[in-house]
Amino acid sequence: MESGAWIERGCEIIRSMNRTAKLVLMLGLAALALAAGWWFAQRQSQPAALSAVVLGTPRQIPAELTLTSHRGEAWNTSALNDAGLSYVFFGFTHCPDVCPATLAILAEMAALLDDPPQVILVTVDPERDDPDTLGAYLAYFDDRFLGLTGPAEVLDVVYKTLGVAVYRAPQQSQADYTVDHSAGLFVVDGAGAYRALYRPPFDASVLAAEYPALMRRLLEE
Amino acid sequence: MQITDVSVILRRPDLAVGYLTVANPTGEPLEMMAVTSPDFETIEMHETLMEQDVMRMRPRSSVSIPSRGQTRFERGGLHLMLFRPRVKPGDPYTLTFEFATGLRVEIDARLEES
Repeated sequence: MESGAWIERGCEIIRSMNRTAKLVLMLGLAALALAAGWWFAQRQSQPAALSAVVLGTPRQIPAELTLTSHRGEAWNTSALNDAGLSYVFFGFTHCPDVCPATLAILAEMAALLDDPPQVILVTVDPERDDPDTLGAYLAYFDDRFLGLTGPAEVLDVVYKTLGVAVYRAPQQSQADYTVDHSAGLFVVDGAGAYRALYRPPFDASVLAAEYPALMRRLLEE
Repeated sequence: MQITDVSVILRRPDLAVGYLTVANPTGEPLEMMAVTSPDFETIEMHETLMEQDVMRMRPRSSVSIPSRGQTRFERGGLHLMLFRPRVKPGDPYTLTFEFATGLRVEIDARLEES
């Protein structure tokens, strides 16, 4: 049957209805149109959903802290001032499994963006991770990444500000010990305030796709 | 006993990580007890555990492979820790897998870089 024939058939059915049935049909169609309009308006006004958890209250990393970069230079949070957003995660170079996997995902994210966030690896093992060790480890991934190490008591302040759990676990192993640590990805703004968190596991394309929206959202607030 | 998808990747000059799949076609579960090699000073089996977003890593004294099944050593889970390699990226190495039954399986591959 052609569409013209369908319409004729429909009109015939409507003609054959009594007054009440016609009214019910009209009201039904009107309700449907309203619902569609409302749904569409809602969809337009809502910000894009982010998988990052945005903190209600940002937490400031104290500005006077001084750490050492993987290039052996002194680094403090004032260096973040022009950096836009930084994506900070915690790890150590004696971690051969998850930490490199995270770095590989972050390198993939950075490759997907014209102007990616600054990626920072903060060691949870300052005893073994000196600047050279961190530098050699990061060089495998992306030479724009920043590695930070420093005195344990200074790093402790960073861990506490970001709520990062770090504890050394002794083991019967050649590795002597391993360091259990929070595996989150912490989003820090240019003023050194911790603003948002990605929980593991991470996905490079999601991180890259959400970056512009997350930046807009954090800058607007 | 089939060992496939072997990939040993250098992470630091003194440490590499190993991934692989072990298939057990027999009707009995098998225990893998050790991995040895003349090309690394020490090799250990480890497991990464993620508990409430905290990453932990623990050595394993043995790993079981279910009967007519397989066990995968993969990212974020079981993996080999290979300490102080005596070979360079691109060079061949040999690994010997030792099972509780006395069975030994040898494989050859080339060291990869991150």
